[in-house]
Amino acid sequence: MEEKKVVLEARNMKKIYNYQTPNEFEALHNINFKVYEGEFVGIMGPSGSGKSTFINNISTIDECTGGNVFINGKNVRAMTANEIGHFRYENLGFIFQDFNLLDTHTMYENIAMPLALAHVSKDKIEARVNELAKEMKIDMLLKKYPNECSGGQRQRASICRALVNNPRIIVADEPTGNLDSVNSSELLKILQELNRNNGVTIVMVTHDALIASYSSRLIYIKDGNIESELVKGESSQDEYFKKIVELNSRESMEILTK
Amino acid sequence: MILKEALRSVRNDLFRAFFFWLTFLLTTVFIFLFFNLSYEIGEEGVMTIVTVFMVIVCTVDIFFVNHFYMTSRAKDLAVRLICGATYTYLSFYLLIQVIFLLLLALPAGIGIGCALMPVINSLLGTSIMITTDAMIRIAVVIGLIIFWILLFNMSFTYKSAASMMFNMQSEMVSGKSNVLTLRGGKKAEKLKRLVLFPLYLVPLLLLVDPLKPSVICTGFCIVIFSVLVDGAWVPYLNDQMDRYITDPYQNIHIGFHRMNVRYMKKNILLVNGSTLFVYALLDQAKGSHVFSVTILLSCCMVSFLMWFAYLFQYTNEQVRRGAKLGTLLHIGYTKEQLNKILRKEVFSIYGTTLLFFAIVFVPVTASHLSRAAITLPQLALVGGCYLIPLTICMVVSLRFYNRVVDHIKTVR
Repeated sequence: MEEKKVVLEARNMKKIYNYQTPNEFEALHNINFKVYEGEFVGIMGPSGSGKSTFINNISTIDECTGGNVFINGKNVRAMTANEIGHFRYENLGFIFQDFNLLDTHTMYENIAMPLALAHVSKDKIEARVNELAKEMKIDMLLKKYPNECSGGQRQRASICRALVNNPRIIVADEPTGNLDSVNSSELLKILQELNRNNGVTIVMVTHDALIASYSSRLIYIKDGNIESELVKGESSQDEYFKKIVELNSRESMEILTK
Repeated sequence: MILKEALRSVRNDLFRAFFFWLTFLLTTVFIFLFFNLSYEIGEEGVMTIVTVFMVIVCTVDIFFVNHFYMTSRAKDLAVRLICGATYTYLSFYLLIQVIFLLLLALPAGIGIGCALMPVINSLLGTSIMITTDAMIRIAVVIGLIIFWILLFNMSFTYKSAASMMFNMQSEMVSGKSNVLTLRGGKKAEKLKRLVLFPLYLVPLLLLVDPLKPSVICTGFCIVIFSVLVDGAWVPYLNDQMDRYITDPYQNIHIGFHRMNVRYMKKNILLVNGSTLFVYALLDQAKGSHVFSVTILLSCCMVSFLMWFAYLFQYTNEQVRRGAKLGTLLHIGYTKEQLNKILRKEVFSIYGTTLLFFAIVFVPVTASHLSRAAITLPQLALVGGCYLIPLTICMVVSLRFYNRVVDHIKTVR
């Protein structure tokens, strides 16, 4: 059986805010976690559990206080600033809840930014941006500025920017947080297709059980620890969704009965 | 209770409150000095123009700063509104803040004005005294300014829904250029640019005629500038963006600069237009020492006041942009690269402002020198009063960005 490649690994990862001050707070406690190539991993947990801290630390956005993070076998802590920058635009694509598009640049210019960093030629930039924009149905909006577009359109542009360099790993932090149900469903289908057809690894934080049911594996974080794990396996999305709801309810009941 | 809350609000946003107070202070000083001067010297010709212009500029500046102070309060007001505050409560809440800052600024402004009167007298070779009539006029003007500020603020709270105030951001500029839209695509746009850029220089040709007052050409240039920005400068930057899309530094820098030019257009117009307009009046002094010195002093005061408002406006944009800079780090830029881009951005916007000023300033100066309307030391004074605040503002903006980048939470 072919051994799956580990694309993302956290070893004894610890995150302490306000380290060595009176307000010290340990948000993550010695997390050990692996993501295999081609997985779609969902991360859930109650508010303040450390989901965003977890995803920020495994995706180079933040630096962990203790332990190590390996992406494609490379230790992030051992990289220089330039290496990390280089590494980000080559390997990672980010999708955020609040889109994080620059309103000083048009939709086209926003999507093209990672390609400029990768020193891609102008023709190839144009071809790639137009190709993705057509796929995401925002090709008519490329000359507009983000503030002239709807939330759904901005999130599509954000996805285009995340995908434009053909990253191997997509990190999404509550990508449907600011979208209505129709746009949320469309976005998740896009991510699911990318994962199934293109083998892109996706790590997604969400608080919504329905959104989480699009994943193939679910990690439940509570109080800075990985509390439970669910694997979809051969289950249908409905069955998987029910298991997720049951897990959430169980965790909530535990808090209520304390 | 409401008094305590209002004063706490001022204390919590000391930065903006300080700017607002300082604007009130400077405006009081300038209005005080000019009304006393004009009352004594006489309201003839150029003196009237200068006084009226100074009052208008000071008033516009206060309204500008007040607008930004109000929009910065929007979220605060929205929270109070949804907690059950009435329109009357909000009006008093704002009134107390404005009156508090005014009460701190007015006596200080009049005190500084009184202290400066002997200095002004020695510069002008006059013995102007502070008169009751002049003080009455000053009170009327400042009273009117306060009245209009209060009216604006009350209408702001009355008309703005809580949801709108929650989401209120700095003024967003549309990406589209609506100026003189031509059919014919890119060629037509290029033609428009070829016409508009030289059009900015055409009024300066009028300076060749010694009978034509410089102020007319300067006025035309000021009007054309506002068309030039949207009609030619921004489309030019769009072309540059297209050209440099593959350059990771240039494409970010051009995007930032393009937004800055549109966002700061009014301030560029104010700082350049008002300084140049007053400066251009020098050839109307007709050899009168009193008028020349008054005009030069006005020029310097206007320049300082307008640069002050410029810095306030630009800092607001920097704060808004600072929140988005983390995105560039996530894409793959390093902090060092970001610092380089932001430094270039600051130099560009201040450089652009200086460039548009210099294009008019140089020919007008040549005209003044040829008409013996200005001496070299006076020229150095005017130049210094423009360049010194420009440099200070630029340094403040650079340091602000350095602090913003340092505070962005990310790996290296």
